This record gives sequence, structure tokens and C-alpha cells, in this order.
Amino acid sequence: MTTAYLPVTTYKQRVPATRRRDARSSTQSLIVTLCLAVAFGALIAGELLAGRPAGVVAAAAAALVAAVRLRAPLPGPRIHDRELDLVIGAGAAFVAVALLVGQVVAPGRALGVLAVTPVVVAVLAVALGTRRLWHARGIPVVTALGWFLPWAGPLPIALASAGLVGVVALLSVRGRAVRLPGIRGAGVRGGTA
Amino acid sequence: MSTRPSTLALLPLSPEVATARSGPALGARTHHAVHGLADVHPRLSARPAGRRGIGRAGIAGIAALLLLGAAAVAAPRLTAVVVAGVLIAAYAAATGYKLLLVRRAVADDPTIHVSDDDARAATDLPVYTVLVPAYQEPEVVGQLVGALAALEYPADRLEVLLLLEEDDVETRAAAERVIPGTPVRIVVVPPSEPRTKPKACNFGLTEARGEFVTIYDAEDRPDPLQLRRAVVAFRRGGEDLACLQARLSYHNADQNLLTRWFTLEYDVWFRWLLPGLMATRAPIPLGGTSNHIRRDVLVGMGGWDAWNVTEDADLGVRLARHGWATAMLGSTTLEEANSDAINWVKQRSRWYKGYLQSVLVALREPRELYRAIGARGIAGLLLFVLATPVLALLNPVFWFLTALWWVAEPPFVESLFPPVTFYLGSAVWIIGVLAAIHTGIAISRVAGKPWLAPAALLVPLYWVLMSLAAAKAVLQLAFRPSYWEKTTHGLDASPSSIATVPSGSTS
Repeated sequence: MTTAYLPVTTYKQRVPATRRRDARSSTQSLIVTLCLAVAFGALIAGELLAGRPAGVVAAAAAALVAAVRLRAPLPGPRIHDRELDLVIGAGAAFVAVALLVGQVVAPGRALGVLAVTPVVVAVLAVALGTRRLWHARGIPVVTALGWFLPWAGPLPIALASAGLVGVVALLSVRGRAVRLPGIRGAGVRGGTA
Repeated sequence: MSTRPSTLALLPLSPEVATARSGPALGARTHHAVHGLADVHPRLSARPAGRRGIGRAGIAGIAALLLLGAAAVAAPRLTAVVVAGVLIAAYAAATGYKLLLVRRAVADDPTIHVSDDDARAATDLPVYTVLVPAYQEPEVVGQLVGALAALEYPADRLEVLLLLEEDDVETRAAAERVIPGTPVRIVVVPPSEPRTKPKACNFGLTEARGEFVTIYDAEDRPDPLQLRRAVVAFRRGGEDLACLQARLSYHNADQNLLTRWFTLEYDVWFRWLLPGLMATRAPIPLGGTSNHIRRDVLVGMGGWDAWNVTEDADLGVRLARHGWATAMLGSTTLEEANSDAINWVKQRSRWYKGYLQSVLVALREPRELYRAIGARGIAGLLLFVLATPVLALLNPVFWFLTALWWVAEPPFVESLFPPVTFYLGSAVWIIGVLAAIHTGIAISRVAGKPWLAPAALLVPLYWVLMSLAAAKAVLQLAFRPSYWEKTTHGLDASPSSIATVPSGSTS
């Protein structure tokens, strides 16, 4: 008889939805803050080196979004999946490494600056979980805009771009940025933000 | 290719063991529920090999990977080009196959429809067993009783076995409060590993006495005439008809975008893809509930594989390879669509892992499989059951390469795709996306839910979730193959979702 038994598992479970804030340790918060600070610092340095000083706006906006969204209570049901966190973290890390390699091969495209976005995704997913990553998705979106927008263009374009970053950041802070209705935490008992 | 229907040689179960409640006989009954199939036919079960080693299939897989690795070292560029070409050919084949299934189902839907009048006119109804496995769901037991009370079937011929785990005290207490006066009987399943739904169903099956058996989840809302329709359909079908799969859909489609996508996907699945498989005589991966099976055949198949996390899909494949037919039944059971993305990924990862398990188990004996289900059956198994999780896993690779080309135009990406591969891949990409959107919009109208059509326009975003689920599924398949990923239910809190039980529509 085979005895390769596995840990006790259940095939269904009901978990009450709550709005309780995640119990994050101070160490975890410190690590996340440091990682984001390094990422935003790299974003600023990269933008300056690429001759796009307006990119600093993106880093500042991302920091603002992070400061607000990561302090807010986490909405939605208390359903988490560590494996999913690691899958997303690993995928984002792979993309970041590929972009950094691209930075070395083709420095003119500033791919290293773009790598900040998957780094932020990986940090948030692994350290705080996928639900928190989705709740704070404005952070990577704003950092991506920092690379994507034509900062090096004429002043009106740069101002318009900076304005767009500001709008996205503001909406992220208010919780309405880049919302895909329904992919956010479900409308469950206890509601969502 | 058709095979004369057959059953497996199995160890008989004595009546004392089949209904045992305590003592050594209960241990034997539990062992039968867990290992009944795997002990006698281990090659048909996904039970981990344990000390028996990795088996021939595992050796073949490792050899293939080593060969690929050696080729990558010896000729990296050529190997990459060939691998990309093969994958794109697989995409093309799977996309074409799904379109073929839809076409077959639309052109000549083989779903068996039984009208309300015919269903109600059925006489001499047999005893029907309904298995309802539940765990930690005290709040839905009342709902279950309500749904069962709505079933139009003679109470004296309805046997409902509510399968509850011994340590689930809360649900047992709730059930004991509400079931007096109903045809529901509680069957207490002793704790043992793996604690899976198929094991509970196998345990209940030993004491079932119905001519037909079906499974409902506790929160299901089946069409009240579904059992009668199934009886009539079985009588109309041939002697080789062993299983009927009723349609599944969702009562909370409007809850959010995810539930809209999920509902569209399920409607395409049960109205077009599975009937298409039926029309092509390929194995049908059964849905989780509302599959109606002849009990003699089910017992003869060894019941469900307690080690497979999509035991229903596996049973569909096993029925096909032993010559039994499965048909679609025009009757709908409403379920709760998963409305939370993380919860959805967990559920979908279990389904994908189970599909991979089922295909890998079936492919352990490829020649025997070919003799049993033929080329059409194998095409269905590979291009539908296997391709679904595998292509979901591969999608991010091609998305990444495409994005990389857009932002950096690295030469190696261009070299991966010589003209033949590039044009075929582009065509598959464009046709695949448009076909997915089109089928979503079309099914929303066919299913009478036109308000879901706008969600179909965004359906490619749904694939991102599928890819995450596929990656998780593959990881679990490697490290925790029989782990049953938990799915949280009860997230459909909106009052409007407490909808009516579906009427006797056969559309």
C-alpha cells in the first residue's frame, strides 16, 4: 500500500470577509520601505542619467502613492495565496533582470529605468502579498509612466506628461486609478474600498 | 474508433463493509474510498508513486528535457527557433481545434434536450442518488434543503447523501437541525488522507442504492426537473450511454467583471466546447457537479480517483477509454461564480493541475489509449484538455517577447521568428483574440445574457489570471500533486444573487 500521504487538506472553506488591517511586522515594513526607497532612488538616478530630469516627478509621485496606499486598510476578503505571491514575484524579477541586461546591451533606451516597475511589483508581491500589490497598483503604474512618457521632449509635452503622472498618482491615492472593475477585491460582505 | 464498453476488474466490497459505521469494517470502507481504484489499477490513478519510483512516463519526460538541454547547448539559436516554431504550431492547432468544436456545436448541437412535458410524463422512475459533499459550510445547508425540495422527483425514490467530514462539527450540527422530514441522510466520512471531494464521494457511493448517481455542491441550484430529464435521456440513449453532463452556469454573473468573464467562459464551455467534443466523440472532461452517471458503470470504473484533484475530468476520460459514451444534457445548474481574483486563481490552479494529472495518467499507456479512443479522442485530449493549461502557461513567454520587441527591438527576438513562424504566429494571435472576443459576445446573446457582451471585449485580460493559475498549477503538480487547493465560497453576498432556481428551460 502506498503511504505517500500528504498534509491534511480541505476541499472547501468559508472565510469571513473582513476589513481588518494586515498584521505586518515592523521588520517587514522596514524592508519594504527600504526596497521602495532604493527603487525610487534608482528611478531618479536613471532619469537624471538619461537626461530626463522631469522623471523625478514620477519617482516623487510613486513615493506619495506608496505612502498613502500602503498605510490604508486592506479591503476584500482575507484570502491570500503565498504561492501566487511567489509566482508573481519570480515573474517580475525575471522581467527586471531582462531589462537590466537590456540596459547594458542598449544603454540608449533607458531600460534600467523601466526595470524599476517590475522590481516594485516583485517587492510588493513577495513582501506584502498579491492583494496588497493590487490595492497599491498605482505605485508600479506611476513608475512605468516615468519611463514611458516622452520626458525629453519640448517643455509643454514634459509638463503635460508630468500632469498625467500627477493625475494617475492622485487617482491611485483616492483608490480609483486604473481600476478594472471586478478584479479588485470582490464586493463581498463587509464591502471594499 | 469505438470500443465495446467494459468495466474494470475490481475487488468486491461486502455489504458489511459498504455500510460500515465503526470498527475494522469502517477502516476497510475508508481504505476502499481512498485506494479502491489505485490499489487494483495504479496506472489509472494519480496516486503518488511513492517508493515505486518515477515510472516510465517520468523517465521519458526527464530524457526529453535532457535532450532539449543538450540541443540548447550544442545549437542554442537553432533550438530556440525550433522550440518557438513547435509552440506556435501547437497554438495554431489548439486554436483551430477549439474553433472546430464551436462550429460543430453551433451547426448541429448534440445536446440531449428533454421537454418539461416529457420530463413530467416519465413514469416508473428509478431510485436516484444525489451525493452532496460539503465541508465547513453550515450556512448553506438550509439552502441545500431548499434546492432539493424544489426537485420534482418522488421523495420515496430520491436518496440524498450529505457527505460530511467527521470533524466538521458545525456543519453536522446545522444539518441535523434542518434535515428531519427531508430525503437527506447524513453520511459521516472519517478523517483520512487525502481529504478530498472524490474520497468523500467514493465513501458515500458504497452505500448508494440508486440506479443513477449525481453530485451537487451544497450551494448548487439545479433545474428542478433535472433528475427527470436525466432519466428520460438515459432511456433515449444507447446502451453505451453511461454519463450525462448537465450545463453549469452562475447566478451571480453581474457581481463584477470577473464573474462576467467567468460566466461567459462557462457558457462557452458547456454550450459549445463540450457539445463539440461530444460531436467529435472525444473524451469529455466532466464538470465538477451535475454529472449524472449510471451507478453500475461508476462502480465498475472504480468510482472517482481520490488522488486526482479534478476527479470529474479524469472520470470522463476513463469512461471514454473504456468505451462508454458521455452526452450533454440540456438542463442547467446554477452555481456561485468566484468573484475574488486570488480565490479564482486558487480554484483555477486546481482545475489546471487536475487536467494535467488526468492527461499524464491517460498517457501512461499511449498505445492502449490510442486503441481505446482513437486519433480523434487523443486529439481532443491533447488539443483541449492538455492545451488549456499548457497554453495558458506559455502565454506570458510570448507576451514578454512581444513587449520586449516593442520597447527594445533586440535582434535575438527577430531571429527567433523566421517568416513562416512569424506569420503563422501573428495570424494565430490575431485570430485567437478576435475569436475569443467574438465567441464571448455571441454566447452572451445565445445564453440570453446580452448585458455580458461588453465584458467579452476585455476578455484577453482574463488570460493574465489564467496564466498565473497555470504557473501555480505546474508548481503544485511538481511538489504537491494531490493537494486540494481550497476555494472559498459565500462571496456572492448581493441580495439579487439569491436568485431563483432555474426553470425547466431546455435552451
